[in-house]
Amino acid sequence: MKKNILLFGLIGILISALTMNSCAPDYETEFEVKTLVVPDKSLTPISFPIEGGNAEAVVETNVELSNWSASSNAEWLKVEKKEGIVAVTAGSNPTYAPRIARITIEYGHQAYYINVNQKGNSPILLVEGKRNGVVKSLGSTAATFSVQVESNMNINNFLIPDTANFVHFESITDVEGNTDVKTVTFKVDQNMSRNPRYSMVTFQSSDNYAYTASFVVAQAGIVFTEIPLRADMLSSNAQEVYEGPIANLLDGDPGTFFHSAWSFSISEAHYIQVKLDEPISGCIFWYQNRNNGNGKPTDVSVMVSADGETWTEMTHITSGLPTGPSETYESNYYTSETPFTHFRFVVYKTNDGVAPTFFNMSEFRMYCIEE
Amino acid sequence: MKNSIKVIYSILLGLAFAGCDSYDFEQEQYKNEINLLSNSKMIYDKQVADLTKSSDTIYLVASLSGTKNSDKTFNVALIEADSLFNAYNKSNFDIDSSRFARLLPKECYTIPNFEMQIPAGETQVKFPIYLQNLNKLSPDSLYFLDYQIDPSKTSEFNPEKSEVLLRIYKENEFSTTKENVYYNYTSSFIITLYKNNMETRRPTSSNQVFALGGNSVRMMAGDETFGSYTTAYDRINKKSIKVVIGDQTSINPLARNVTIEPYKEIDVVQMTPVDMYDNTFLINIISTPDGRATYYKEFRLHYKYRLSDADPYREVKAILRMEYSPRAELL
Repeated sequence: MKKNILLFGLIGILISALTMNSCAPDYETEFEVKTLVVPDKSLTPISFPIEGGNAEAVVETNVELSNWSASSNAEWLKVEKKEGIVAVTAGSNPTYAPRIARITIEYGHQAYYINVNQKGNSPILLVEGKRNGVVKSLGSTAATFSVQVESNMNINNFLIPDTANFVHFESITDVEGNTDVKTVTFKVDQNMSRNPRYSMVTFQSSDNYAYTASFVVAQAGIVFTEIPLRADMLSSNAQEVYEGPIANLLDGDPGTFFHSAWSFSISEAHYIQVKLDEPISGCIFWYQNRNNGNGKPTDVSVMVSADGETWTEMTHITSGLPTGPSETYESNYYTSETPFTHFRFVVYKTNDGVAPTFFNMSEFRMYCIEE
Repeated sequence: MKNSIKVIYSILLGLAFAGCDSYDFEQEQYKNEINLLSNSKMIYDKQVADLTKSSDTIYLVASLSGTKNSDKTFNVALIEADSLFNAYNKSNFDIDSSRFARLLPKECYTIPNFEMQIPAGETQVKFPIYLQNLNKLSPDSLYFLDYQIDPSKTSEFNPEKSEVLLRIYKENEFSTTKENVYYNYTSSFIITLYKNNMETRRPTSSNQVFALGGNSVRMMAGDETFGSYTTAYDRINKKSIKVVIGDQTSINPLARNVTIEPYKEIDVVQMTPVDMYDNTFLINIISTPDGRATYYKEFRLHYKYRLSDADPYREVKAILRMEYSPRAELL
């Protein structure tokens, strides 16, 4: 029994000794941790002037140079890694806008980013010497106008809002002796309204879209003047013989009236005609109905002629004409491609008949644009 | 006596072992059979073709079942099929043929080998399918390839997994047809250009973006909607724009110029950049001082559109933004 106790005791001591030995540290294993740190100071954004330059970012690392990387996401920004630093080089910026880039310093899944920016050339863009605030005043009939634009950029965008698109870009031409100054010409639609209207034109360059200049176009409303009509200027192909002489259209009395033929018939539509003293290229006409219920024009053709022989239709009105007693009507402003001296108001339908049929009215006037 | 008992027990034990040895264990093992990899609906839809490459490769996988790997080579041959394809259309769309899925056009793929082998000791073989011209495919249609095992050239196969529908998905950097991708309007304006009464709206909705080609996507113009997608074909054609992503801008390498075009019928005019609506696709990295960053893909657009000539234009200044994880995209 004592022998067994001794045997088991020796075995226990042997096992304990082996266990202790196996727990001994392995002092020969290297535990060096590879780290790469870009200090906060080097992470601040780098700013380069227009002409470019050099900068450095400190890299604190025990990683071999070949095992970490530094890169730039822009062609204009070069980076080169060296022991302990990343050298950054930017060339000059030929553009008219600031530009940005990003440097990435990486080791494994660890990455540091440094933002870089560089100033651009200062853009110049002036309209008549100002970036904003110029107002170009135009008459209602103005057809074109020009402004002088000074810029060191390529002016290739002329922005006109859809909501005020009566101005249209026409051309841009160099000004002799100064390459930075251009003459920009615009077309303008005639203002057919009595109200003035406004549009803002903005110049923009693809060299720097954010740097713009603009000016305001203020176009006056149209001003009409009455054409002095005389009785000898008026005529009709169907003057009624019993009533309504045509001269009544000009007497200013709504109680009197012109009446076309009802006591006899002709084969064509009835009309009144005006022979003007001076040629005009457009007009408004106005009339007042006779104070009764019949013979009110509802379908009218307005014909014009330069010689009284060859006629062209300036407009054909089939709606909106008044049919009530004493009601008045003012037309839109109508123009002809060629000036005219003869004006004809041809009635195809009235509120109670189809041409050839009679019509009547009490007053008639014509207006042209005031020059 | 005691020895006799020991002898008897030993004999019984020996007989028991001998009895077990004659049992055919192999009858309980799965046998080696060839099958085409698919889900429970016989569709394999795990692969997405990359549109940014002129050609991309997906695989039709034939695998070998069985408890143990085989020690012999298995021949696998494929032939075209259509029974699954027809069943898919019938079960999903019945007689609504306008919505039927389509077989991938021949010009869009090449299969170099219709017969390959599963080598001894291995469990699968991949039939490469080279995809090309996927930009010609409508992002609104379902495209499949339908193939089955050729029984005359393939020895042992599972008849229940002998045909597969391969769903064809495509993706680019901006979207994918595998799932719905939405970009959200942020800081955006839609201005209806009535001459006397301009109307401004501030959309906060999202816009579904569809991958077209390697560098192009389709989206609805402004805040137009296509309603129910299942009946949206005409509305999509009428109200969609196409955005083509181009080269890096000169001032920011993370921004790329875009071109805005009509998708089909819409009247759309790209306008010049204004403020931050500079007609770019931007990887916008918004960093916090503690070094964390949020990544967004952003379309920054300025255009005007109208759905008919009689309508006034609607000017759109839009930032369409989608958050993403650059690391997840590398997975």
